[in-house]
Amino acid sequence: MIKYVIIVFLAVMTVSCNGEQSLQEYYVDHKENDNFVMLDVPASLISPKTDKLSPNQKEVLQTVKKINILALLLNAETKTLLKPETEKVKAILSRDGYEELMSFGKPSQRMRLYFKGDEDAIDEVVVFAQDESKGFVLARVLGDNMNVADMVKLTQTINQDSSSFKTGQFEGIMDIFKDK
Amino acid sequence: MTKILISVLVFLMGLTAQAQDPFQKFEDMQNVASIVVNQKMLKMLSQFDLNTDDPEMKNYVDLVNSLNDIKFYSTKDTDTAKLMRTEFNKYLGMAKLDELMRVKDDGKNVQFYAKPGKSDDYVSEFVMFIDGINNADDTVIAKITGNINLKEIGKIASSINFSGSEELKNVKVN
Repeated sequence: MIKYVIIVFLAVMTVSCNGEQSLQEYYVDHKENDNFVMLDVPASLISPKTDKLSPNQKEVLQTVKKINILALLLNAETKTLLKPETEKVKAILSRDGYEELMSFGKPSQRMRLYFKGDEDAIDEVVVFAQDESKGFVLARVLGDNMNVADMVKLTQTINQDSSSFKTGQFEGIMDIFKDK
Repeated sequence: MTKILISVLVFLMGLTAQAQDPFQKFEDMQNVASIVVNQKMLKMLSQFDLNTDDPEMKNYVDLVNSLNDIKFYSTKDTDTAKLMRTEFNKYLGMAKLDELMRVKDDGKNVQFYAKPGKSDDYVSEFVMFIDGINNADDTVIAKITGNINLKEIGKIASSINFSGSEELKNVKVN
């Protein structure tokens, strides 16, 4: 009897694990796809070349490992892709260990924010923004024990000076946190 | 043995079955704009200004920290608005909420409800309904859960840039 229970249990687990894509696999699968735009930004690129940063600030920056951006830009050919692909991403995000932080917008235009890890030691932040007429952007900030409060402080100091800092994407992401 | 099996099954089902929010379905409806802020996000937000000495700011941080989640749904579409009204009334009966107050502001009917918390000033759930059907304005449902200090709830209004959030400022506690 117990054996039977265990077997059923294992079967259920296998079924629920198999055939499900992780977000990483989704990225890899769409890397070669011409309809998608992929951008990998290693942390070294967003780090400033100058020594203006304090050791403390450097430490915060070092918690970010890289930023992955995958975008589906709509045109006549890719128009039909938006809905199924959006559903796929949403499904992955709802089960692959991500927790939703917030979402806002309407069905035609929405932004969602997810994270993985502990709230004061984040491993990954995912921004998923979708627009009915333009497509979607899926951005992952991968890191090691990232702290949102530290990062916001950092981007604030960076905004004040330093023009050598390439924060384009980074700021966009952090603006969400600042906006309150 | 069967008993154990059943209890295991029930336990597993309890894990997977999520408490369904009756308003959640509005999120996927056309014509409905929404904002949902979850607890972890609120915790992170409250970390931002920890160093502040400003008592006003500290109150604000305390408030944010005490919340579990914030949900706003709004629509201008009449049919959807009627559906919201229906769902809201259903929810009132189900969740056993007390009416706090009604405000008629600019032709809009605004109603506030709450679920009692640990003391008079604190509620565990706060719900607002703005009826905009009659003057073609936004109809809004707002639901906030946590350990909410009613005296402070107006402060959330300035942080949430969403249709109807201003009405929160009207909440008055004797």
